Amino acid sequence: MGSNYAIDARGLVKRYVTKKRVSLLRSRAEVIEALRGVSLRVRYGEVVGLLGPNGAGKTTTIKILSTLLLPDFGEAYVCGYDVVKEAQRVRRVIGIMISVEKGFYGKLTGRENLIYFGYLYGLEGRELTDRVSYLLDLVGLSELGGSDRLYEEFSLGMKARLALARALLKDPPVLLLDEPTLGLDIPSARRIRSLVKDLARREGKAILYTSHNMLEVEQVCDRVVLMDRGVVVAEGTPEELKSRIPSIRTLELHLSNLPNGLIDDLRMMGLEVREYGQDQEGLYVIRVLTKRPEEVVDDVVRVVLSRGAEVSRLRIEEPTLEDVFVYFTRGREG
Amino acid sequence: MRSFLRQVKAEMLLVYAEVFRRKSVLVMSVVWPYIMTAFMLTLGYVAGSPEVFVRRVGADPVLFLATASYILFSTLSVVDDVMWRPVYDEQAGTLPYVVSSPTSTVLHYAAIPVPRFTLSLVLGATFLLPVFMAREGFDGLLSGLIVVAVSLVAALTFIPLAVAVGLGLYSLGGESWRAINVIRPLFLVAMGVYYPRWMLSRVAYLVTALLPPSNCVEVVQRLVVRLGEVNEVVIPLTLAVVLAVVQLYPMRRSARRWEVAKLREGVKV
Repeated sequence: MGSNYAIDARGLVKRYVTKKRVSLLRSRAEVIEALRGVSLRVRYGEVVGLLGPNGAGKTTTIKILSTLLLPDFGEAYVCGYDVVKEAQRVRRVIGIMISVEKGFYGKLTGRENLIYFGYLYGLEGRELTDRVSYLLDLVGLSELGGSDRLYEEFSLGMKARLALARALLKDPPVLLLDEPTLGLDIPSARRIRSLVKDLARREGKAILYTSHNMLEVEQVCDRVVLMDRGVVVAEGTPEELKSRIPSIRTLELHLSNLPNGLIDDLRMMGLEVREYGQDQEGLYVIRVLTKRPEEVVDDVVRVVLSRGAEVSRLRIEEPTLEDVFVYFTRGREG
Repeated sequence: MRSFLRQVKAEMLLVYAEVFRRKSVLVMSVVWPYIMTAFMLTLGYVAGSPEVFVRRVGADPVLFLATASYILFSTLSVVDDVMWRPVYDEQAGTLPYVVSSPTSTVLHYAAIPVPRFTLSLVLGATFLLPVFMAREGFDGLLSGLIVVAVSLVAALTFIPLAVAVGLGLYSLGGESWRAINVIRPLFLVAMGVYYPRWMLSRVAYLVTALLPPSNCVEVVQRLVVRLGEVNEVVIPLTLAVVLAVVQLYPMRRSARRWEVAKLREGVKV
């Protein structure tokens, strides 16, 4: 037993070597550093969000923890078991959900697919059939008629629900969920989010959760690990991370009109001002980015009024997780 | 053993759903033995003479070729299933969940061919037994049943070698349909279903005897020709079983090597 944490990864390094063809007969080896010393920990009863742009190394990390990929260096423990040396034991204590849109057999029904994987996971008999029925109810597939419908006829939302049910088949203490709500309709995504939260709170499961949806991560995760180009660039609760980014609180004004020269006047005051066009009601939206909006709000309103515009709405916006993401990853796209 | 039987149950669920819910597969499974035998008989009658066949081999060509086809499609399905499965699982996206399951890779791949060869044996028997009865009367039914039983042994004893070769090959060059297309005809020739094994040269005989099912093929051929003593049946069958037991070791090694190769490059999602 190597660790008391549910998940404990230390200094994971993974390089992929690919061959790039440079001419008809010659190819050159190209090394891609997917992970460059990633360390992270997840406690029981905690949902940790793994965030990062495409190519940051999120899926590689999940794969290593799922025993689907061997790291080049570093070590990782799941429930105290080494993911390399004790892979079979790790496999007994994890539930994984890696891709939502596939991963089952098309000619089997939802129930049969779960029974198939149940056999693979060492379940059988009454225990298996009862567990499958319970999970089909839990994820809401029974009410959607997915239990006895062929998987090839499933909608994406139903596929995602079935994938979560499979991850829970063994009732594992650790769940590794890679973008579990990607492309889902709102009811399915909400169901999955609420289940994930319940599983951590009520059953004490440790959950590592990757997503590109910042709002979702903020709603679901207790802690966030931000990755970029194979390293962890920031870690903490969403509130802690937000407090670490400077000068991005926003004073948002909705104006009846936008007089010429108003933006220039505000900028002359040394403020960073951005125009956002018109909102749904036809009001002009401008945002003033500043460290302390409450200190400049009076001056801003005075200048707006002096230019003959009316302030219909005004609010001070706190930074979002998306701002945190953009700040730490420098807005890099995958 | 319990774990293996659990795997077999899982595979039966999957394979029978695939066969019975896909009409084209079902029709082909039923019709295939007839097509294969008809083709071999047509080829035989066009290219040669049945009298010459009887003179040289000592067997009724219809029975010989029907039996050969039967044992061929039921046994070769073993290698087909073992080699086809990783390719299929990768395409279906199920491979990560199979690899990350606590079930051992060896047990999983050993169980994979069982449902299909069992089905092939049953479906094939619906054509083989009437052929035997038509040619030899009620005695033919008994002979046909013995052929079915020996074919079952052939398929079972072929599993370790099929897994060893299939996964061994994949661990070297990755999964591909091309590998199946190379391996299949090689096994087909080496098993010797379409020629009397005792007429092979000594070297060819010894080399092909390393394939457990080829020894079962010899038993069936001697039965059809009514050639041989009891020990000429028992020895090849024993040899097939002993070879299968010996080949369990390379089967384990190949499965382990394949798994490590997959984990090194990362199981595709």
